[in-house]
Amino acid sequence: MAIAALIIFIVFFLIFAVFFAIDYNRRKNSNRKYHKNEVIVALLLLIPAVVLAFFFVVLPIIFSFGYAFTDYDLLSPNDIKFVWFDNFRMLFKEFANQGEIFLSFRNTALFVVLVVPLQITMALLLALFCNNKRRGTTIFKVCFFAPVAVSLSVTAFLWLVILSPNPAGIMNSILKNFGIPAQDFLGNKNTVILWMVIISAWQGCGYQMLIFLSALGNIRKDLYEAASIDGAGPFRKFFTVTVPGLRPTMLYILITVFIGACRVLIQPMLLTGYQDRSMTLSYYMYQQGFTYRHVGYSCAVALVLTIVIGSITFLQRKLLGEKKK
Amino acid sequence: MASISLRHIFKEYPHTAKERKKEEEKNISPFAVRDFNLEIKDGEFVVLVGPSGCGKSTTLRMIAGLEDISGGELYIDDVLSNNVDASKRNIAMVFQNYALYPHMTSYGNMAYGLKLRKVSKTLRVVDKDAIKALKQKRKETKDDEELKRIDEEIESLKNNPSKEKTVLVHYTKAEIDEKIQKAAEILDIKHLLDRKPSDMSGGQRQRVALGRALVREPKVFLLDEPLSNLDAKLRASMRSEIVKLHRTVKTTFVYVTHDQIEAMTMGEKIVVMKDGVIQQVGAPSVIYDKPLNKFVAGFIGTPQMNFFNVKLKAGAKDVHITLPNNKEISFKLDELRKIKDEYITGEEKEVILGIRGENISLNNKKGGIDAQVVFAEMLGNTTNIICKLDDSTDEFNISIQDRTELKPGDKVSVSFNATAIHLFDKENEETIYLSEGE
Repeated sequence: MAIAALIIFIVFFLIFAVFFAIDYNRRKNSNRKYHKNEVIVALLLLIPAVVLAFFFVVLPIIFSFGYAFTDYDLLSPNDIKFVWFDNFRMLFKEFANQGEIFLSFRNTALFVVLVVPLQITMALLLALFCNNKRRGTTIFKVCFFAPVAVSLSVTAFLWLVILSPNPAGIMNSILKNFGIPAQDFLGNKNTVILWMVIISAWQGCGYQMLIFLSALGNIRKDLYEAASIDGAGPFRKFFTVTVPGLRPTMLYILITVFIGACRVLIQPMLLTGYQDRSMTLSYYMYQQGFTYRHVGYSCAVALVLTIVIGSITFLQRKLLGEKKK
Repeated sequence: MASISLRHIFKEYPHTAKERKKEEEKNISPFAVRDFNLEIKDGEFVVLVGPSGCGKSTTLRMIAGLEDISGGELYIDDVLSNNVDASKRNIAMVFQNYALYPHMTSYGNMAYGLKLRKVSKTLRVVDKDAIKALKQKRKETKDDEELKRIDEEIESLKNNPSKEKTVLVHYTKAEIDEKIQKAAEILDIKHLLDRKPSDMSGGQRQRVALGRALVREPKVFLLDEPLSNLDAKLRASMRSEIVKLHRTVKTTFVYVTHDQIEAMTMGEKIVVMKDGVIQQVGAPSVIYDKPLNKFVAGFIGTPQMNFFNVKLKAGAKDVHITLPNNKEISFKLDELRKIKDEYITGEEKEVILGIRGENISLNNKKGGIDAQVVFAEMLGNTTNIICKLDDSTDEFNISIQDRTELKPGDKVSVSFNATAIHLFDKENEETIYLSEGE
């Protein structure tokens, strides 16, 4: 294993060196020439990042790709057999039989479809609200951003308290005032995904708000003035100036939120545990790999998930991205 | 087309108490524009010019309705317009950075304002009230002939829409297209109509921005430094384009620039501003020949007017001026423009003498003013010779319409053209000449 890692590392470093050499040569032919010392300094400065990226990003990807075709089990780590596509066959069979992977796929899809529009809309509304020079907006910005800074596990426990099925729980006692009987929000299979969506969007949108805010700041003011003179009201201004101005940012946010939502894991883990009603693909993967110790199978799921997310992201970029000239 | 009247206009931006205190300490006026009075006649081309931060753009934006007016009254076509919404003022504005909507084509940019706009249209409709009245009358009459007559009348009313009704309608697509094509023709941008701003050069974008203003058929064109993002050559050609456009559409133009050449070449009336206050209003030739104060004299014209601190002794017949190198030059009183009475006392007064380079001649006559050449710069059609009176005085320039062989260090003798001498009070820097009509 260690030898394999070393070989991969050397290959990786060689690829890096080749890229660097190509770049170096190209520069050499142009007017800008690198000094030898500059090259050495640049390489030295790059080494920490390259080594870290290698051990924590590249190596796991390569290993998990390899494991996906083996029967690697944590209980028998020294007895790994190459099984080709058995893991994938098993995966699709379970999916066809509407097993756990099907449930987790269904839950994840539902979560993604709900959380992406909600989180982006909330982030945009908050950004519009904060995007003025009124006094005290900084306080709002801090408030809206605060959940991002708090650990997901902490907020999950907070929400567990709020959404407690106990009639004395916070949400239930509020509902009691309206004459609504006590609910088991997270125990009900109809509402649990909805609450996961709300909690995730609430926690995540502050970060996207900041990105939107900086994008709003970059929209030129004279466009709004030109629109005023043209007779556009606030809504028209929003759609003719703000929305086109936010378009590139919107795509970036859409892709990052989408990818983040596809990987949802901590929310179901902490709110409900491993349950049919709330399990997601990442959770399923984790469960297979670390609880049942079927690492090979788990890696196969990861590979399929990566391919699915990758192709949807690619589609989003193709369909919504600015056309290149 | 419209006249604009600005009466005692003030503009103050919101200040925090801290900022205000700082300003008071430094004795800075809190107003961006102070007591601005200007009458702009219908169809006039007015240029507001001044150094950056002098309040010219603020004034323009107040006319546009993009900026609140802190005090005073703004009349557009004799209608008090302080609180009229920008879109209702029927003005068009061209911005420095063009402000074209980046995701729309040129056509879309020009059409946008037209699509949003509602215009009153007079339609002829069936006079329902008259018919109602006739029907009432018909009920009351029993005479057959009368009934027949009324029926005929009702019928004719129904067939001939006679009542005039004014309604607000949007332009139709065909109308919008017609206007855009017409404007595109004038500005020669027909081939650019389906391009987006990112696919056009600065000059082309500026034309489209002008087109967007033009299609609105506004009462007033407001242009806020529209040429400052263009290169020098393009700027010169766009200058004449805009002047031509003004002649074609015969609408009121208010043009803001910090470039005095633009002001001189384009304006029918120039308003020179400094620190939010009007310094002088007048035709370009008046501003150039008869500046009211030292600021206007120095701001307008390149190379800059030369200034000397001199002593003036004006008697009943002769005027003696002592230059900084103690050389005295004399003129007859009637050679100069009329000097205010309080300066013709026969006593020596400290004043500032201003004279443009082209009004100093190199004649090497005896009795001229001795000077020393510092260097000469050849500009093609003219030559600037930088001289100084002696080593202790500032440099001044002479511009001649000829080539020169003069080298640094050469001694020359120069003389001042008396009619082109400007004299300003040393204290308040105002002209000491009588203005016209005084």
